[in-house]
Amino acid sequence: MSAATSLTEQNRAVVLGMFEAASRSDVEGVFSFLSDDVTVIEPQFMPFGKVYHGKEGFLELAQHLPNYFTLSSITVHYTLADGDRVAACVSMADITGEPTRFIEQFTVKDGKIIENRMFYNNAGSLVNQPKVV
Amino acid sequence: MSAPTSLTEQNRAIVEAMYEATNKGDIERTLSYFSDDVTIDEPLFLPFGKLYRGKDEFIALAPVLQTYLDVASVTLHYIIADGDHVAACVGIPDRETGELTRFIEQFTLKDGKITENQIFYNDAGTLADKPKVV
Repeated sequence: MSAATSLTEQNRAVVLGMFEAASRSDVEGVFSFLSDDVTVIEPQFMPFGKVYHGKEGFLELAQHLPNYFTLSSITVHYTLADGDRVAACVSMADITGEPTRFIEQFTVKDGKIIENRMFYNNAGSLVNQPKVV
Repeated sequence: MSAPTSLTEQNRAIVEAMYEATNKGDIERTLSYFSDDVTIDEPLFLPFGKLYRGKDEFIALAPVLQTYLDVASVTLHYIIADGDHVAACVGIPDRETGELTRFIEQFTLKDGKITENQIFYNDAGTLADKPKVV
């Protein structure tokens, strides 16, 4: 099979590579797909909702998430890729066992993820829990 | 200029045309882009959150939305189109604050019609604090 050639397919591969590294708990691998100044925008209605800046911010968020989600239950249902934007439709159980469903919308530049904005359709039991950030 | 030919570009054009009709207040034309058995999945954490089935329930949802959102002022930020899925990142002012909410309408299309609209929120304004009405 030939290498991915279009910008759209290159950027889809970046996002899929990041999820694959995350599923192996390969923190260094995940970081290799992120730009140094990545921003992650979690909704304010979530207990960990705020804008996280840089890889340090990404690590801060990663420390909160196991308190709310069973991370091993993550499923990437499908991706939409279109130029520099990639949206991944994802589900994961929250810690009470309720399902959640969300879109991780990535912006990719020069082969690195520069922004990850989270959009929730089903936030399980997590909406309006006390803020921790 | 030639007409869009790929499935992705055909479906992108349908969603763009639907928003254009909506912004003109053309309800008949807006509805023409949806299949009769369309489903609309609004998040359960919103006051109007539930699964709406068919055009009749879609029509009934519209006045409920207007209670919370200024639907005459839809901002379409960008579209991500890929095969039979089209995600539109949209903002509509929260009536209580005037601030733009931010959400994705993720459409599934089949044979030139929208068959599913699943809505995902990033910024729900004051809506996530409101009591349920459905």
